[in-house]
Amino acid sequence: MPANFRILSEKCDGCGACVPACPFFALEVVEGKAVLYESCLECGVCVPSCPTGAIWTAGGDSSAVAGASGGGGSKGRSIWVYVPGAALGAAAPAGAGAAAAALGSLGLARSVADEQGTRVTAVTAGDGADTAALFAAGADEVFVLEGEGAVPALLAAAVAQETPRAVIGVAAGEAREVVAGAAALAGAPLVAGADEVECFGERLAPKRPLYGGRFRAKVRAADGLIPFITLDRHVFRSVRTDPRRTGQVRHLAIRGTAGSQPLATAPAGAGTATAAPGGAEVRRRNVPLDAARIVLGGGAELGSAEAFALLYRLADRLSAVGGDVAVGATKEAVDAGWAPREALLDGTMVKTCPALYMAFGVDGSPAHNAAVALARVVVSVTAKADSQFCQVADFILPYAPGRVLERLLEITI
Amino acid sequence: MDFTIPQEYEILRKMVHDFVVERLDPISQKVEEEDEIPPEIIKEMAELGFFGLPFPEEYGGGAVSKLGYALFLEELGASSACFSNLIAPHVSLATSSVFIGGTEAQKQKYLPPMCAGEKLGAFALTEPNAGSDAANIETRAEKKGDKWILNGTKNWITNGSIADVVIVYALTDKNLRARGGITAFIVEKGFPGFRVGTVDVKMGLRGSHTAQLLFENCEVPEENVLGEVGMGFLTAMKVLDGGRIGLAAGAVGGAQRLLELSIQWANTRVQFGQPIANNQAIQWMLADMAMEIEAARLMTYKTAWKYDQGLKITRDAAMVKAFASEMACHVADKAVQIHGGIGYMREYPIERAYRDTRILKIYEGTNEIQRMIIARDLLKVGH
Amino acid sequence: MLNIAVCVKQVPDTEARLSVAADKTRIEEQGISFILNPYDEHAVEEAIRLKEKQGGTVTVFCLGPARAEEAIRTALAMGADKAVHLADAAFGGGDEGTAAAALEKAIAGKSFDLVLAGRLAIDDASGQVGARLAEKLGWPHVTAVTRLAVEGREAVANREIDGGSQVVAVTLPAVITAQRGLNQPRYPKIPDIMKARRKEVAKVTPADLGLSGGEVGGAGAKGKVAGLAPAPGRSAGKVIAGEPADAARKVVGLLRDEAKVI
Repeated sequence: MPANFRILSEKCDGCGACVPACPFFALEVVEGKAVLYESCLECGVCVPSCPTGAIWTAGGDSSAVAGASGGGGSKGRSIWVYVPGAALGAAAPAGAGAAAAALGSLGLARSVADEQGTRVTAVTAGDGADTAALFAAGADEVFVLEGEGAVPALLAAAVAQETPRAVIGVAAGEAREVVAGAAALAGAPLVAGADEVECFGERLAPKRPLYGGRFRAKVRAADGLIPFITLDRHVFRSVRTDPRRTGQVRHLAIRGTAGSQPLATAPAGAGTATAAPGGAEVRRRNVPLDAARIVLGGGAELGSAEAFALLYRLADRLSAVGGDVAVGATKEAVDAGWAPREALLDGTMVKTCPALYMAFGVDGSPAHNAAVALARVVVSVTAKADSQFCQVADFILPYAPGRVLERLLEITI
Repeated sequence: MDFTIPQEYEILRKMVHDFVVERLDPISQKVEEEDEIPPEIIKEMAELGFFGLPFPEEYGGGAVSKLGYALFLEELGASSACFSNLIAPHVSLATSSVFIGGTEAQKQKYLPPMCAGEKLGAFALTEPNAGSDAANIETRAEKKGDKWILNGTKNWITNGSIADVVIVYALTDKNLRARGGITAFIVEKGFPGFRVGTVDVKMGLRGSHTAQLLFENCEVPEENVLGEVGMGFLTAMKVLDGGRIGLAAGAVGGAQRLLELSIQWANTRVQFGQPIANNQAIQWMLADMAMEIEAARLMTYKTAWKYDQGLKITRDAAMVKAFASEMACHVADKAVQIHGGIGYMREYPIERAYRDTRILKIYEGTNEIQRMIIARDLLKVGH
Repeated sequence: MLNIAVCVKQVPDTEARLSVAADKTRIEEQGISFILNPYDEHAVEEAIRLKEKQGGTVTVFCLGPARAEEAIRTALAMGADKAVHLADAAFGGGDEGTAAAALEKAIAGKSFDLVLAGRLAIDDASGQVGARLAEKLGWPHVTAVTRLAVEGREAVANREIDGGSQVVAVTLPAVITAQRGLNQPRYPKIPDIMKARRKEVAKVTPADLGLSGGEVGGAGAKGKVAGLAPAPGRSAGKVIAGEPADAARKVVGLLRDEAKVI
């Protein structure tokens, strides 16, 4: 049991107000009384939530407890954000996913740093990075790592030298590999794919989805270690840029590094794309339904093969901003020949677990609903307001699906 | 008593489960409409070893025990019944006839291609006037020189129209009949005088074909007498005992799938403002389904286990065949009831399962015959 | 000739009904079934294909409790030759760092040319062990690979990046992690499932790998799950009114800014 916290059961009336307040899922109401679990970190956030004062703390003052739980001695240490040079290089297409995600991670770091009263350091390697963009997105300073060896090793050595408060990167592409590799070399914990980061004093509390999004976990770094965090690239995207902001660029020379050899790039030609900075080949992939992040579903109400084909156009558009997109179809749509059999959702028990499922003209047979039951956010577009499927949707657009599709294709997403 | 499923059979059932979900379920409706299993799917099943699993490795089989075979058919039974009706008669009846009753030379010759699925087998016992009364068959075999000449008609032979090898049971001594007068013959497609008659139109089991087989002075070489002359009826009875376990296992798998679909539907179908699963009437049906399925499953596993121990299973096999097939019919009926209107529609698999299930109480020995076997065993002197 | 190590993990079946265990940091394991991690299936398949084409051996490495042997035997049934099972209880309760450290000790110095693994395990979906293992080994690595060609001492891999793919060449030995689309994993054949029972699965302890109790499992973990909870349930749907054009614009805004899924 946590040493400094206890539930006073004579005071607790089991109202449950503390349960959502706890960032660590350590509180629950069992048989009419709150129960505090082992996972309590004594952060004190729950104390003010209790209307009856039933949460007893050894210190008696919740804010003091919260402050004391911080990492101690890390004051003034900045929050690092690793940004691959290529992500913001001159060659990177404007508004491309990688750049948006990299800037989004800076935006998150900026808000954390403001809350904690510290600085944001954008860390990059090589010369590719557009430093003005990094400052505009929230960096106070930019470190350019220089030295022999691979980037993960350079980053790990720089972390050892400069001891930042935390190291953040995007859970995608090169950043994902570099941050994971650096964490390994630094002997540090890494919370991968966080979609929510809260601050408690100087401690960062990232949350991440597990088991296909069915559960959420709070991960804690062992005391005294610098936490590494990679962020879900789709969640942290909004950033308030300020082009007037500037800062200092520091070239950090790193010596004596070990670790993996650098990746060689393949020669261009023979129809293959090269790994030149920013020069990634962008092409439409045939994403299997169970691997897609976004699934677009079409049903009988679309009415024609032409209307169904609009789904593929929307998929193309969304894949530029939202990752892997797949098009699925109800049995009626497949039988009508609008979609290939591989696209069938109903009754095939395909295990889709997309972040977003958008259904167009789907009436929602149980077989269909079961196939998409694990989707995180569900949108149903149908003029049939009594559709079974609307009962499980988060957002319902009560219009003819074909018309909404046309409108969606007109908007810049 | 240990109810743990051996690790290799857990792997086996997961493989079959994945195959069912990924390969078979997506084409089930198409098979239903076209009344044919695509040949490439049959080839895939053959490559995975579906056609020879309980036979020893030296004959190209998978060396899977009866329990493993039951688990296999339970998983396969979750999909459209036509798939297990392709495999089970081939394995449980035709190939098993060769394995149980055949000479070493016959096993060497026929088992490897049959296990590999290169040669499909059928089991031909039933006749127009000999269904439950199997000993009353009229097909005759007469020795002429070094050949046997077969004359007669076999009815409702599963896979008969596409089989390469047919195990034909014929009368070789009218006076002895079941007590040494029936002999089994290995008849290959193309033997002179053997042809396929009408292919039957059935209530269900689309994609699986039963046919009439005609033998008109059909010539069978001496070496194709399965085992010894006069041993046919004994072989048939032994084969059918083992086959009943497989039938029960498939019934359990099919019923389990219907229960899962019913739970899914009950949870999503909203009437009077709430899922119908909230109604006690629905809950009781689901509970009854689950209870009967579990009972049949345990009987199946236990009978398979006894078979693997080399124990006599005649009564157990009869009990599990009758119980599991009746269970499957109860479950299918409740599944239709829970689904309501949609359960009666062709577009949804419930209606198909309801039709397909009905045959389970009839073929491989009617449930009335099973009860005769059970009662005879119960009343046996010295029991 | 290629000597390939494949790292696999056993994970809860995607169809299993999961619940949080009493200590609120784990999933309740009782009564659920487990499978070979689907991404690892792609890694196993790729290893077997390379072996079939170029000769060599495929050795499976798995860190996990006794039940994980089923996943190992599944890989052996698919065609891997032998396996090393880090099954000791001391390995349990660790994080990605301890897993990578233990696998590194088991794999290093055994003259492997290539390590293949899944891009991530579908349970904790962390996707770190491959990269960490590579750094520990000091080998180059490519993650989320959808195409792989090995010629001589060079591997050319297509790596998924945002909105496209990249072709990367690495010198062997290297660590490659598999993304869906790399191949279509085969179903294990029934006779091979039965024969896999006879293949060698070596059980190793931390001591066998030269690791102390404090370096493995929960004792060595640097990151711990402090709390686990079911994702919030679905509340009643929101009807978006207005003209279709407005509604379309509104829903895009909600999906982008509120739900953050596009």
